[in-house]
Amino acid sequence: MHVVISDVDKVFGGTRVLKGCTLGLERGEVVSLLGPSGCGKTTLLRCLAGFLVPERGEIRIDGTDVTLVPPNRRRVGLVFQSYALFPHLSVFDNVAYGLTVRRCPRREIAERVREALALVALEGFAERFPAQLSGGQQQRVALARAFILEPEILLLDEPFNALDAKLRGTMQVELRKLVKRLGMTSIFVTHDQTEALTLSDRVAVMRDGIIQQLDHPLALYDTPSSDYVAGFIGTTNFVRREAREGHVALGGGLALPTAVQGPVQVVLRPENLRVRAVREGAAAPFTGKVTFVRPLGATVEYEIDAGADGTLRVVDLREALAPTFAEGADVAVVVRKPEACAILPGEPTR
Amino acid sequence: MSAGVAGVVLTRGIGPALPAIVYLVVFLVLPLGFLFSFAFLSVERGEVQAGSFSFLHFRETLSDPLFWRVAWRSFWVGVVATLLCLLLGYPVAYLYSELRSPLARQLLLVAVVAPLLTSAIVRTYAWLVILGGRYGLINSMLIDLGLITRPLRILNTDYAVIIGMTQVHLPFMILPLIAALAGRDRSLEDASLALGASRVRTFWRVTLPLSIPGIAAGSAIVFALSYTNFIVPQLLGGGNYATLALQVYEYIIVILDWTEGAVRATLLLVSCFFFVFLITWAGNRAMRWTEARP
Repeated sequence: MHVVISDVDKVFGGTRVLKGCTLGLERGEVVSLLGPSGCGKTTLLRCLAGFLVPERGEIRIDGTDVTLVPPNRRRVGLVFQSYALFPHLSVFDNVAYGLTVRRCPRREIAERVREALALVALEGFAERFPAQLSGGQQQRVALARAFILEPEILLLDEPFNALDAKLRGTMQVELRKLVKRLGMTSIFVTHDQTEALTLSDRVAVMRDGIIQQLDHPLALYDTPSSDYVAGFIGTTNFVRREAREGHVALGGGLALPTAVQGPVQVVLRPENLRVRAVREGAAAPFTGKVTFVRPLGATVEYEIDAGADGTLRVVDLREALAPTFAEGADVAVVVRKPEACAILPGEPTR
Repeated sequence: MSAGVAGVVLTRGIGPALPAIVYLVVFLVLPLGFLFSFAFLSVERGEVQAGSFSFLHFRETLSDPLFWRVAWRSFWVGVVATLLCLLLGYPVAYLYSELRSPLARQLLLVAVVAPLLTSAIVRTYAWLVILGGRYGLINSMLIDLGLITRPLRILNTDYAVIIGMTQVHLPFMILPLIAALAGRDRSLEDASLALGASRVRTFWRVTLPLSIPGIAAGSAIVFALSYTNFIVPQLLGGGNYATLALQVYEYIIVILDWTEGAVRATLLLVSCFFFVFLITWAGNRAMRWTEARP
């Protein structure tokens, strides 16, 4: 492991903001810390950068314990939410800042800054001031300023927040490609699931100072470890049932095998459900009334009032020219692939 | 109807500032105009001599070496007081910006502003007690400690004037510095640290350059106040001490030579504007990046 965070606790004014966070990154791996505001993700990032010293636990970079090392001796690259470019320095001087501090020879600085600016496609902008750049350009300068020092790890705190939605999508892809090309171990902090899933090899879902689950994006989606994770990644229907003798009976004769006993929640992703007409003699796990239809073209989204099971959201792949169900129609809802349903033991915790 | 018209006039364009503008024209611009006009006219037995307009008085004053000695002293006393205020004030403003507790901030602010609540004359008299002769606080202490045998001569020197000016004008330096430092973006300093710079280097390369607007504003105010202050040199400089401002006072109030007083007042005001402009210009030049636009 290149970067190891083990059992880190951080307390602010009597509140434990981080509660035993443990996380390991392979060299060159990109991991996102994903969670709502106040979940501790930025605190964990600041501990990694050295601005905060954890009360307990340790942080190792490349085998060395850096828990108590101040930020300026840590070899950590940081990209801030606001970019924090020095407004009084030109793009060149911003990117050169870390090299100047290290007393690099002038010629080497000029050469390396030129290379770094080329990597982020900002050749010809060296003499400009940050205020003369667009948001996306400023972000690229911030990035170049961080990676020019060849840090052990690149930390990015909500780096896309200040960009408009359209640019954000493009920059996410660009950034992912760049970080991968540089082979830099990176940690992103974000509250945006699309961003986390786009950028990362693995995503750590955080809640109340605890890393709930650390896994590959699709694994998080397919096999969430808790209803919190299931609800945070994508859209989900939760259905409460009792598991007995190795089975959960969903209804309509459909039973899912399980090892647990007692109350469970079955995670039904909208695209794993299908709406069809109610037919005599064909049992379905759910029946109900269509309360909302969103005809999007390739897919049609339904909201169905399924009585005791609450509202079910269904994303139906529309076969060519197939008619849709109207609001108010009585329909049956079936499960496409019962084996794809995750079963979470216990009562809801969300 | 007319009240409605007045309401409209007073709420549009320069309308809201009109009362203040009228007030300043009547009580500042006009009197200054009168004063300046005396510098160009000859007065005999309280009567302005018709057709006496000339630059003669300026020519005489500007060719007087004594005038230049006094003007030079006014200038460098002002410069030294400004630099001392900056040196003493910056750490206080920085401390304020680093305080987290609102109560501590309030207390510090009160401590900074409190001297302004007492008259400058009272505060300057207090310096007489501290700096004065054999029995002044400083001399008696140094003698009792055996560090000196004969009292130092501080009162009635440039040192006393500079000490007095610095104390009286310190708040005017600290307040703009606080305004510049307290609202600064801390992430810039974090960024500097993360890029490997020490705290000291971060201060010199990031914090200080970004506080230049506060430095320029504070310096302009303190210099203007020190350059034109006449109370402090009068009380702490002694009988033979002269600055331009003090001469204006003496010519007009004591000697009753309005022409000589008006010439110096005009030169003092014009040169003061020039220096303040110079400081502001230098400040703006150092902040060129704020004007950079795509």
